[in-house]
Amino acid sequence: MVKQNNKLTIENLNLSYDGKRTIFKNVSAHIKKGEFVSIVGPSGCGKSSLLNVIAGFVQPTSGEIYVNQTPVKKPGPDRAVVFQDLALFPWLNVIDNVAFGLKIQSMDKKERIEKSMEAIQLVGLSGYENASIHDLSGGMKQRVAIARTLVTNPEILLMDEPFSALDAQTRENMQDELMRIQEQTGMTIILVTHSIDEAVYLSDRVVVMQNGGGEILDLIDVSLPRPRNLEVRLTPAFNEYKRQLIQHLKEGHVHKGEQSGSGI
Amino acid sequence: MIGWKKWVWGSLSIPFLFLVWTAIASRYPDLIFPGPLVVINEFTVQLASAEFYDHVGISLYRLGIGFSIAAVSAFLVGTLAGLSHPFRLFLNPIVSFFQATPPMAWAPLFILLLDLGNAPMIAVIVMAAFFPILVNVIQGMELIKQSHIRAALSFGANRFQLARYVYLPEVMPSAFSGVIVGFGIAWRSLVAAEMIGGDAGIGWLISTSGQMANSSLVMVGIITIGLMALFFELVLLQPLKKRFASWAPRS
Ligand SMILES: Nc1ncnc2c1ncn2[C@@H]1O[C@H](COP(=O)(O)OP(=O)(O)OP(=O)(O)O)[C@@H](O)[C@H]1O
Ligand SMILES: [Mg+2]
Repeated sequence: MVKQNNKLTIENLNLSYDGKRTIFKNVSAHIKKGEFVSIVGPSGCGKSSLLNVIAGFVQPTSGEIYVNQTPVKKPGPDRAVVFQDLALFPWLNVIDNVAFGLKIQSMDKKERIEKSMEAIQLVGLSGYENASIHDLSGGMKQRVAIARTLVTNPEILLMDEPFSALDAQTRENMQDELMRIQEQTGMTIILVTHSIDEAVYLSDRVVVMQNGGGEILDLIDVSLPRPRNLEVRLTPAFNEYKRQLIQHLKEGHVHKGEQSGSGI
Repeated sequence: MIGWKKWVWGSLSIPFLFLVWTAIASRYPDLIFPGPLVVINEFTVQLASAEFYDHVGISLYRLGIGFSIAAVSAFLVGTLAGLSHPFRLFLNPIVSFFQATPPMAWAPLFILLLDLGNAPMIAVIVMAAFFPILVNVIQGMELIKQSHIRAALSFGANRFQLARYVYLPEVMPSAFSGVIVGFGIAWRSLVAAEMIGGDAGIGWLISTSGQMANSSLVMVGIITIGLMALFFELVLLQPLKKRFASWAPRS
């Protein structure tokens, strides 16, 4: 059922690359506008595959994806992606990277530059417009990748372990920045991460994927109040969510018999 | 090393070369192996003769036509091969075979097929430059990152935009390496081909001068070839490469 107020609806997605081994099975999800959903799970359980299917890069074996109740089959500007390797274009400088999506949409140059400047400012990179990608630190590249997606005003932002290459301090800064940007833009965000801490800190809901045929996704609602800041991390409630998540991951929890698929 | 130091060390090689040349030439009569002064003298004579420019011009003309044909067609074929894995597999043996044969070896056949004149010489150049450029373009296509393509697609890029804004710039560094290698091979092959079966051109000038025992004109020809290659490399190819491929980490 495609609910009226869903931003993103996933229905009974199945994926097998070779027709033999199941990567995931009967994944369904109803994600509302402005929601922040994280996906965690052991390496190789199919997190990136699921994200790639939602982005439209990989065709599912069966199942449907709807954005605003409209089925989508191909990649499109409604679902922006921050790639694990960032996928910045090294032949373009910072501002041209950020403006890339607008150029594809044939926006005229003046407007393109204006919007890109705004996005660069939003991620805190003002002054680096003409820098070459090679000369940026990991955290700065990360910001460029985020600015490049923000500039086109996507409704949905898909992120595949975007902060994994960063040191702890930069990573925490980027997390706060991401929350701030989401508050300002009202984007719906799906984030793949290996960090339990990051998932709890950022998310409204955390999805746990399991290895081996990915039958079931466990689901944890994180009802910590927003806006959140670093102090939330010190509260007992925060740690209780983390403990729950670790428990789910350890058990390889499968709700057999409860339902035949996995609902988010 | 600091810039000027490099420059000093590099420029030391020129007087060194002249010294060695003078030393060896002093043991032979000028008619057999002329020294620098004799050759420089001959050079000024040649620079004032219209015939010399005709030969240089005709070699350049052949190079220009042949190299353009090779570069454009290698780029097209390489792009198609980059897009189609079966086509790449199909091309593999052909490329290996032709890369293993010296382009010069085809010259006699081309002359028989196409007669004397420009056509067989242009064919040798195409043969020499096409395969190195092709190989590098294919390699460049294989190096294009999947995530770059996906990023463009997720912004809604159509096929044309994908080609123009991702494939083209990303393949440039490899393509340029091919162009520079191909250029070197083409230029040397052209001179060699003109020597064995030409009716004009720098190579022909050298071989006829040799037959007439005009060693200083042979030397003038050799130096002209070297200087022209240097000129193209420094004035044309390297700046172009810098313009289109400087972003690549190792280029
Ligand atoms: N294009 C593909 N073709 C075939 N198999 C694939 C492809 N992409 C991924 N797989 C396989 O699917 C499984 C899930 O991979 P995926 O990359 O989705 O895992 P992941 O959860 O993102 O892992 P990680 O946390 O290490 O990034 C793996 O066994 C992988 O080998
Ligand atoms: Mg992954």
